[in-house]
Amino acid sequence: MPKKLELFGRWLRISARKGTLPDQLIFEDNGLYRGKMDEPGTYTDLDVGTFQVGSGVVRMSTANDAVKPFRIRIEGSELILKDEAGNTIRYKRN
Amino acid sequence: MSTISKTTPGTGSEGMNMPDLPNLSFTTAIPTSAMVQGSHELPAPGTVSNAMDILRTVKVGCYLVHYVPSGSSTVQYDGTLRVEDGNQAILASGDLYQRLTRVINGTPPRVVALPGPEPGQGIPVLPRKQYRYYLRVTRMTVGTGLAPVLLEFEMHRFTAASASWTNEGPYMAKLQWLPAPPGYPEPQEYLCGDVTNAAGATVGRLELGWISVRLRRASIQIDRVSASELPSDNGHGYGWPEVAKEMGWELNLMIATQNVVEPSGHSWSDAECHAAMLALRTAADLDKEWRYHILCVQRLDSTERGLMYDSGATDSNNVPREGCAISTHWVVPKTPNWGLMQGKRFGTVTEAYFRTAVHETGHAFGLYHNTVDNGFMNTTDYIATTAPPSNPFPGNIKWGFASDDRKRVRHMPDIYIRPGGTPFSTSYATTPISPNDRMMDAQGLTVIVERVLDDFPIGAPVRVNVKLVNSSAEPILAPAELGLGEGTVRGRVVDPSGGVRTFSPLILCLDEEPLSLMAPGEERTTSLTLLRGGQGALFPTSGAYQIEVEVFWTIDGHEISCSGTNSVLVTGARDISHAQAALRVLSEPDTLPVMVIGGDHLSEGVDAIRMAVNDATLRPHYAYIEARRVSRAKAPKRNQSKEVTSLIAQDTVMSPAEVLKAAEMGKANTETKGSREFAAVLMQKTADMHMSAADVTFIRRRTSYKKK
Repeated sequence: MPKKLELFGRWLRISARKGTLPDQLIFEDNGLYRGKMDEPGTYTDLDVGTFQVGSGVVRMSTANDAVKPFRIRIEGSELILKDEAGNTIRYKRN
Repeated sequence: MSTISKTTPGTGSEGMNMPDLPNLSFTTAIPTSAMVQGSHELPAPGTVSNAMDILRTVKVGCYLVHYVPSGSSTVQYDGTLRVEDGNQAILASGDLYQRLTRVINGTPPRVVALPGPEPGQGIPVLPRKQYRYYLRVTRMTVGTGLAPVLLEFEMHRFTAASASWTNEGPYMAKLQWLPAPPGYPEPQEYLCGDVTNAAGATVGRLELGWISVRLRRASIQIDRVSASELPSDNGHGYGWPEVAKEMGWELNLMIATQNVVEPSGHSWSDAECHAAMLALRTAADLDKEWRYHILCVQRLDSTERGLMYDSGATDSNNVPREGCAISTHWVVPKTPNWGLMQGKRFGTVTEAYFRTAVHETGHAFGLYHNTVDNGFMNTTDYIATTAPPSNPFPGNIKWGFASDDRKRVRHMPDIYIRPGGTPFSTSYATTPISPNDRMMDAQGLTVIVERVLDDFPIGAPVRVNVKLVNSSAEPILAPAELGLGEGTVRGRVVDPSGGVRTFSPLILCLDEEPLSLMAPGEERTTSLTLLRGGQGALFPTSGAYQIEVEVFWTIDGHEISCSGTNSVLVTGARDISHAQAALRVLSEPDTLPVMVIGGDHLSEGVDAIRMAVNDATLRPHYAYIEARRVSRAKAPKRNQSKEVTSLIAQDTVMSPAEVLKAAEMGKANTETKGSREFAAVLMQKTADMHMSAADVTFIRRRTSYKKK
């Protein structure tokens, strides 16, 4: 399970798109995150909100304001994010 | 042409994306003193020679629309046209629903259209399954008693099964003011005229009659448990009437049950909220009323303050965005970011509580989060966390929608906004919404688009050079670096049939791009290698294409853009090998990230590019791309430099920027026959493309090798 500090920064998607997970994620040290798709105006479930590192999951507020758990692990310079539906995306630190 | 608008996503043309919201359409350059807005007033004697010469603009508000295509009495459409005044210009949009028909038994039986909505009943609400068109008004002119109002618009057909849009093209209506039929509140605000298509053929008849000063109509029903406060206003005089005015809607607020029974304790699951909404809502026919529901409870299982639960799996009746829920008994943490709210029960913090009610209802309208300012659709956490010490939360709340959201609630298609329409998670259009109320020309900047070749074989990326020129006598602030990778270039491609596809930065820079002054006469250049965009392949068929490239940047929250165009011909497949390779690269989504990011992990994209390299027709167009991918491989191979240089040949198609990058890629420690040939190829290309002396020097230095 990554520590909060390890998440900070910008991550760019390097695997194929899955579900509504974003192409780009930024985790800030104030507990807020932002997510974006490459094409402006394209919906993503993780657009902007809060994130909290817990035991085994990171809880993130989503586009409709529901807070959902995501499995996140960091392998070297890559972040692997998995949502409740099982969609998994790999990101690379930018 | 250069414009400034608020940074707003949006676009749309084909396929799944919502059509563009309307631009402001300028009236002709006529002083407002010469215009009579709305009613037709006669001039004082002697001031004009002919009363019929008085200019009239279309009165702002909502019009009942009736459209009958030529040649049909049973296929008719009813709907609304929303017109608002955007400071010396008009902003308008509309929606059309197909009128219901019925069969009259007889010999033979016949089909007749049922009566349409009554103008005296105000803004009509029509059945969702009858929704057919969004009208994107591109121009509306003034008229006189003799000269018609010209209404130019696009008709975007909605296909419910796939939630997709098709732009059926531009139309124009020449409308004359006529006396209204009975029932209209302002009989003099009625217009009628023929509709013609782009070829000038008459395709139908359009009638518009003014029915309301407000643009849309809806109800909000609020139910609460007895322990939860009612979200009626912000405690400082801003309440639902002010929200309605901000939106331009007629909003009917209904306070219903005030002692809702808690099904399983103080905290509610999403499913319980949804079930309660269905049980409590006093009217359930969303085809006759746009009714949104707010449920106020003590706590919510899946969030702290509120959510729009009616989406995805929770939407058990498959009728999305009917309602939302807000909580009153979350206790605000005692941390500095919560400002004046620290330690308080949420329902007692009137400003934040009411804001949450509006925010969640905004999601029910189909709006997503928006951090462009501290308006309703930004998140509470974001507003609180970014509040300055001089104005702690909730003092820094902006009581209104961001301007782009205000435009959305007024001008997005009905089917996006209304409850039970398209689901939450349907994307906004993918190109920026046209400029808002105030248009400013970034005078003096020109974008020149030059194609590297006149024609490209199908499957090949289209390469263009882009030049931003300061043709004025003053320095102008503009992006220091141009390019898709820099996030300062985007554009669109129009195919032979008029279909539009867009391209935009693959990797977005969320920080603002650096700007620097461009001296008079200065030019900044970049090259684009275009293959795929938001809608897939940009050049999927042979034929003539129009490419529009837009350079854009942001100053003080305003987006400034400048664009140029050129055309290119895409030729057809030359043989089976070419056809197969073209199909592969055009249909493989990972071709683009391989081109941009490189690397070996996207195997499908890599295979597609290799297939193109192995085809005689496409090889010249993909050789550089493959060389670049090889040069960036994570695990460099022995003789990698030799492999890279061997791919670049005299017939390799490259832009000037690619020639410069190739010089870096082909570095070798010692001179070989291959490296000499490689250097010669690059030098020839600098001559062919008339590259600058500085570029030539750069390449010469990079390709100078130690002699053996």
